Amino acid sequence: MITILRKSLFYICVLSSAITAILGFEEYHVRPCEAAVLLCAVLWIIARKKIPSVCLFLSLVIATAGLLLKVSPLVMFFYSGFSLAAWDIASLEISLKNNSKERMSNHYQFTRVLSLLSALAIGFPLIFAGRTLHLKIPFFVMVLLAIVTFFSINRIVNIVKRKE
Amino acid sequence: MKNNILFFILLILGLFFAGLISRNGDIVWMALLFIVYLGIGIAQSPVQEEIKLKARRQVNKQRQEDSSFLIEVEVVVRNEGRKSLCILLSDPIRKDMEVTKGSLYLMTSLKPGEEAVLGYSFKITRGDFSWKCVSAKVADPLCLQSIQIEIEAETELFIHPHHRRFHPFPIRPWETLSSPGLIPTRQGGSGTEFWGVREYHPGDPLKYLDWRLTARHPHQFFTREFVQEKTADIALIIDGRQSMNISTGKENLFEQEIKTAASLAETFLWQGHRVGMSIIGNSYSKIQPDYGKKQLHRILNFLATVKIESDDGKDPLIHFSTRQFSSKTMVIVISPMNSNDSLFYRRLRFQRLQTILICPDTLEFIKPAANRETVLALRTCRLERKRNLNLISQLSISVIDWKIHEPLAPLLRRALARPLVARKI
Repeated sequence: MITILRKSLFYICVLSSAITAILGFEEYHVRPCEAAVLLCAVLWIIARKKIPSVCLFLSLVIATAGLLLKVSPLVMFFYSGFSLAAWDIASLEISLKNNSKERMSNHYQFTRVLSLLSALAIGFPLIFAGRTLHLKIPFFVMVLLAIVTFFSINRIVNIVKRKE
Repeated sequence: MKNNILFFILLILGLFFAGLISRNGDIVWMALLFIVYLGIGIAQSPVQEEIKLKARRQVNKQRQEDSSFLIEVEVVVRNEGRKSLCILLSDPIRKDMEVTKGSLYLMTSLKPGEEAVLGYSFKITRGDFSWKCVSAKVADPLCLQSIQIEIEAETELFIHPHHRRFHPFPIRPWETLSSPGLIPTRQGGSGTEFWGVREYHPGDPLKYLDWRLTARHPHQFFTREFVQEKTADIALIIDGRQSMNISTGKENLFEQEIKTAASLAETFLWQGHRVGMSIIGNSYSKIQPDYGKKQLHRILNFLATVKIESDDGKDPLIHFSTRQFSSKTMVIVISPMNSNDSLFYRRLRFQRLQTILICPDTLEFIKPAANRETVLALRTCRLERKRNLNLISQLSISVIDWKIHEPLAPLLRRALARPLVARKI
């Protein structure tokens, strides 16, 4: 039962992301991007157990292209959010591929989906809040922020390495 | 798992720099979603000190119709910590394991006090399985970061080769050990079969006094003597060289040799003889000769573990020490010999060791298709084999030409009951 739910959730994510993006691109008549979204959706469905990371990367490239082409940012945020959800479910499916007993992993699947939902639930409001604030940050502050982010990430990697 | 973090970091950095270069704030905002995802994963990552897992393992074996065993393994892991944990349990897989049910992996989450069961079953014909622990990867729910730990769950299991004890047959070794056994010697002493009567010596047990003869000859006492029965010292040698092994479909010549050795060991030990065992291979593993049930257990455990060893271009038979056997040892070699092996048998005979060669017929084992192209080759092979066996038997070695699909017991009975007389070499 939980397998069917998981698969359904994956297809819902992929289809929702594809439909959202196509509708967004349709508004600005960007046909090549629509084709790319369709191709990416097909790739998601075909190769979800093999190359989910490649699919997510392609989805983000399309979303970035959409943002650069001035397609509605909301649509692109939803597209990337749904892609992230699809990636997470695909990764979950890979990790459960050789599982001994499906029944034993139900709670784990539930916990994982809950974590994903919480990430999306926190992420989207933060993005929307950030966009509505209209902060005018000077370019050098932005660069400074980028450097700080880079070093923060570097620190996270070090902590992770130490723990492993 | 580690790769996932790296992938996300690259994605975030990529989006960040794409936003900076294009001066598009929305692209940077998009990265926020992934930062939150990464942050939630790292925030929930496990701490080594908080992980308290205990495991116990249960192993059941069931014999199948095809003489193999079905092994059912169940590893129960219990979370004794205070936090819920997401864990990936895994047991190591071996080449010879044929998993029939379940899997060796279990991804699950455990609440405090909860138990998870990793269960699987596999088929095996023989082998030793010693599990010391079960591997567990404790991770965050998003599987971004993990800690690898080993939980102690020790069990040992030996699957002995399928074998059947031969119907007991008498053996006639050239030399026997001094301990009492079943082999009648041509000497009087304590035994069961009547040997003769001799004059009484002080110290003889009174129960052996021949009262009738004593009555006929007053002032003289006579003692009855029985045929002394003694044990033999037997060394079983199995050929474990890779170059001598042949496989056809599911059948393997080495496995046949193992089964034969197990049957012989059990038969001889059951008859009260002293039995030791060696393997011809690179590691020269062996079991010291001994008596009884414990020795049988030792030998069967040994046979459960032995494997074919690669020759690395050298012939291990050249370096096989024959000095390990005492002069009273009867050596039984199970080997599909080749022409280069005669030196080894010569060495055995130089040491005046009674030797018996059980030589499985490899051609009979392979059963090659006899067509116009192969018929001549087969004939040549058979002639060469016959010549080799003749050379060996000229060394006063009893050779048993064993067609594998035929019973071995009658051949053994014939060869062991009337051994060849030792000749000078």
